[in-house]
Amino acid sequence: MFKANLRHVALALACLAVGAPHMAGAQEDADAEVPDNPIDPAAMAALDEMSASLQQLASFTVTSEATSEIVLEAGQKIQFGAHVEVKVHRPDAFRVVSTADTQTREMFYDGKSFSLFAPKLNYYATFDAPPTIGQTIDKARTEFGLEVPLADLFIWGTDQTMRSRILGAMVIRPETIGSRTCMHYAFRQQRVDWQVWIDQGPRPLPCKLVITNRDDAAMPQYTAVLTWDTTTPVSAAELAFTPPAGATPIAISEVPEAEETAQ
Amino acid sequence: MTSRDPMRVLAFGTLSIALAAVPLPALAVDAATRGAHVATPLPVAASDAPAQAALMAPPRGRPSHGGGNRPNAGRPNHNRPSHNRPSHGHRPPARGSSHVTINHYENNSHHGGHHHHDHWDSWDDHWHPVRTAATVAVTAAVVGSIVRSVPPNCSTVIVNGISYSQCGNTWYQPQYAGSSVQYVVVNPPR
Repeated sequence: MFKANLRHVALALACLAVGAPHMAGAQEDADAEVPDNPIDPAAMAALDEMSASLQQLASFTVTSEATSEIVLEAGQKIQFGAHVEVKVHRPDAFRVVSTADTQTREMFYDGKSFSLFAPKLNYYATFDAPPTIGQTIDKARTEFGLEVPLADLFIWGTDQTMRSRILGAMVIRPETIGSRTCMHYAFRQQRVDWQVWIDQGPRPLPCKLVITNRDDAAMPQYTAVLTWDTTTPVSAAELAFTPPAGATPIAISEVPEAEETAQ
Repeated sequence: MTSRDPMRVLAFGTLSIALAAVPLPALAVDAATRGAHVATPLPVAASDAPAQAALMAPPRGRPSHGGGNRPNAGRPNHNRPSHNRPSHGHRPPARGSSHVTINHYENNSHHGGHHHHDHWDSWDDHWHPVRTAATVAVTAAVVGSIVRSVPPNCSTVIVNGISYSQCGNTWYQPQYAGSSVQYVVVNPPR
């Protein structure tokens, strides 16, 4: 109480000196117990736990119902759905199949090369790949402008720069997703907001992911609800790409240098 | 597929009704507006006026009983083009989209490039509206120009290990740009 009284005295003096209008804000600041930290350490800790849990899986299958959005010139958003299946055999094999009415693609990595296949068109392209999943996803993105759906699932836990890009982190609340109870977290980065729901069961794996594009005022979102199979083993052999009969190889164009280096 | 069959049957029924109600010129408009999908302008005389007309035309294939299964209306079970693309050929331009990874937003990956609207510009995969061929046949494609689809009468030809799509006298070389397939007009390889 004594402290509070002193504060009020100081406040009164300050009012005389500077003028009242400024003081309301100053009083609020002084009364705040803890300064607001935009990054809640509990949210970051949950992210670390989830990353560790992902890294522990030697092989897994995750399927997802996903939606993505296109923004028209006038700002109207058009949403599309897709089914995504990711199969991983660590450390060096995956197969990602994204099936949609708009576009269906299959992506394969076997430790040596990456293949992209369009089953309806029957065209495939292959490029030499680095020895790890993380490096391969990075090469696909930066050199070929190719985004592997749900690639963040691979990156978490290995990309140490990921944490440093987070400018805000919040714990929202536990929520029900299907039969699971998942804790809801929200993160903010410079150009993207994203949310993850993490399973509160024995394995803290992501139940759902929402990625919001802040580059565009309409803020189009990608949403994926994830279903995990961590028990059925996935062998490297079953992830291999064998071009079907009649499939023909085509080139994949590299991202032009100017674009690659542009902000 | 079995789970889809009931929807398909339903869609087929409504589509038949819808097709009967649509005057034929509307289909021709679709073919004409295919020129709007050309990335690098080709000398195609596709004006936006018929495209607008197509947009304002009553939607075809809409279930009159509120089934909400309109996308499937493009999958009739007879010998019209049988892919899921809605039959209006024109789409207004897109300015942006969501992205499938958080990592995408790392600074070095942002370039607003040509492949960002994959699901809009090139939704997939060799659907061809009726009578596209007639529209394209009168066009002299410029070597080096890029299109997002080729006419339906093209055939895949492999010359010296390279795939081409040959459409009459015009040869295209398909290539991936990101996850989209695009076609570059090339000189005949033989």
